[in-house]
Amino acid sequence: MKITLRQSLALAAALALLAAVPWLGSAYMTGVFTVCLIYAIWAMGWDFFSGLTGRENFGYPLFIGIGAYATGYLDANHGLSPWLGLFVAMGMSALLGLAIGFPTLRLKGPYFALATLAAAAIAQRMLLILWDITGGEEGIQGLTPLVLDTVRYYYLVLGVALASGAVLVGLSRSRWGLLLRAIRGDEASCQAAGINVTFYKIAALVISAVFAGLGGALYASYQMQVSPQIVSVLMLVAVVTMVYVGGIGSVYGAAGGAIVLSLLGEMLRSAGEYRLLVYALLLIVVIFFLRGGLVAPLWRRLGKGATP
Amino acid sequence: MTALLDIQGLTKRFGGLTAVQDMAFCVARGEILGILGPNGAGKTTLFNLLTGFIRPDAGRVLFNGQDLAGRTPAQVVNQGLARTFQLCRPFVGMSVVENAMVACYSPRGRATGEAPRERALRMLDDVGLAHKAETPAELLSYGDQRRLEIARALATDPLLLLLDEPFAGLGASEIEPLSALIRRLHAERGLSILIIEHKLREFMQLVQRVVAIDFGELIAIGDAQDIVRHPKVVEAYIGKTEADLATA
Repeated sequence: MKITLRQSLALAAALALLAAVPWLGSAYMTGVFTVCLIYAIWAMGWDFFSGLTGRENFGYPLFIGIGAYATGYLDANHGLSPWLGLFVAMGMSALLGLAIGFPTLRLKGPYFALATLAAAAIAQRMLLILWDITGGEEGIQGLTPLVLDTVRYYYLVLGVALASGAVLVGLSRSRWGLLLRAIRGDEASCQAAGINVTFYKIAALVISAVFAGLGGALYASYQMQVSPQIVSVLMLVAVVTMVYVGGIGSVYGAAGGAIVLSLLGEMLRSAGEYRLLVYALLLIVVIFFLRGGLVAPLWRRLGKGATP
Repeated sequence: MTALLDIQGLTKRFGGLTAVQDMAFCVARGEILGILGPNGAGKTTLFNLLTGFIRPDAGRVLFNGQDLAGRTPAQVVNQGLARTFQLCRPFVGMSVVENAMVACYSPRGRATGEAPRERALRMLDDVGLAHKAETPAELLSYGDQRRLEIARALATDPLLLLLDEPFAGLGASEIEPLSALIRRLHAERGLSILIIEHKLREFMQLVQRVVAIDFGELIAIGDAQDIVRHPKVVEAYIGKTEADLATA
């Protein structure tokens, strides 16, 4: 798919705005945007598997959590460099993706969603039971940040988010995207077309998990701590809402959704706990009235009407 | 020359029901073989057994000299044995050409060395759907969905094509062109075809030999004209006379 002039202008403007955040806003806003870009990585990772194959992975916080906890544990107990921690986190999430992928592979629709949700619930309990490793409710404190300076950390996360987006959007527009959408359409037809459905489903789950773990490690190192909240249902609701608001199945829409909702969340900070209510209402509105989401249709509209 | 498909003692039971019982016959290279039998005779179960969608309880299937035991449906397709479904199953939300491209990405499709999109378009051209390449697949008419099913199967570069009731649900105006397409694929590509069909007139025009089955068992095999007069076949279609059968 080629991008039109208007689309490339819009993309350039968005990138310029993101690059200018540390100059335009306060240090606080830079921090908000850092977290929002980490959410963008998570949302794109979730959309790549769940949006394309149509299997809602409600255990996604588990993949985020294992990346964050792996890097946190190794940093706190063995002094592992957080840079190496990024790779360990991606490796651990990939392994967990394989471990969850094989048994849940044959499940469809709500069964897959429930199985993965159960896995996340078990994991959250395990974090408390294994308190001597995970720090229990307290989590693990005093982690080493990847870079100290807020502005440099922002640019690091921006770079990782852009690279993640390039990889995931690129994959979604390649053979991978086509075959994963075909799997969503009809698995038996896919097999009759000679496609190894098992391989593509598991590989896509592992790819999705790797980006969850990468974001998890970035998040833990940025917050300099990791706590059980990272595997909570709230995390899941936040990521899934971002994907739906952005436009499920488009991958780039998920990143847009993450930015829109993070900023909305920031504006509603004074509303405190009511923010969740706003999130839930927004999700309901999008699911009922804007099935394609907000960001992805906007991008497609930019592509239309211009000379090809 | 050995048979392309050699079925030996194939049996499948579902609980107390024996859906396919000790089935044995061969498909020669370049042949169009028909499978005839009343509803529930086990025809579709037989197709599912041949293509790896269900596992047999006994017997074996040799295809092109290879034993297909234990192979997944995708592996069977990549041996060169492709199928279509009785109920069309297009990939919803994808265009017609994207539907065909999926099969071009199968290992066997890619082994042709042809670029997937070009190959998909060529297959669509072959079945007469090239002008609808960008249409969403679910908007196709039933007849065109059947063509798409065939294009998708052809994209895997098959040696043997299994057609499960290709004319079911089609109007008279759609049946004749589809029948012509199947004959053309056979003539031009030398494609071997195994076909299940209820519409006897079209069926008799297409097939060279017929296997008649009832209650999962083979009751007769031979030339098409002889089979419809076979006493056991007539009995299986009880309530119908020979004349009804020939013109149904």
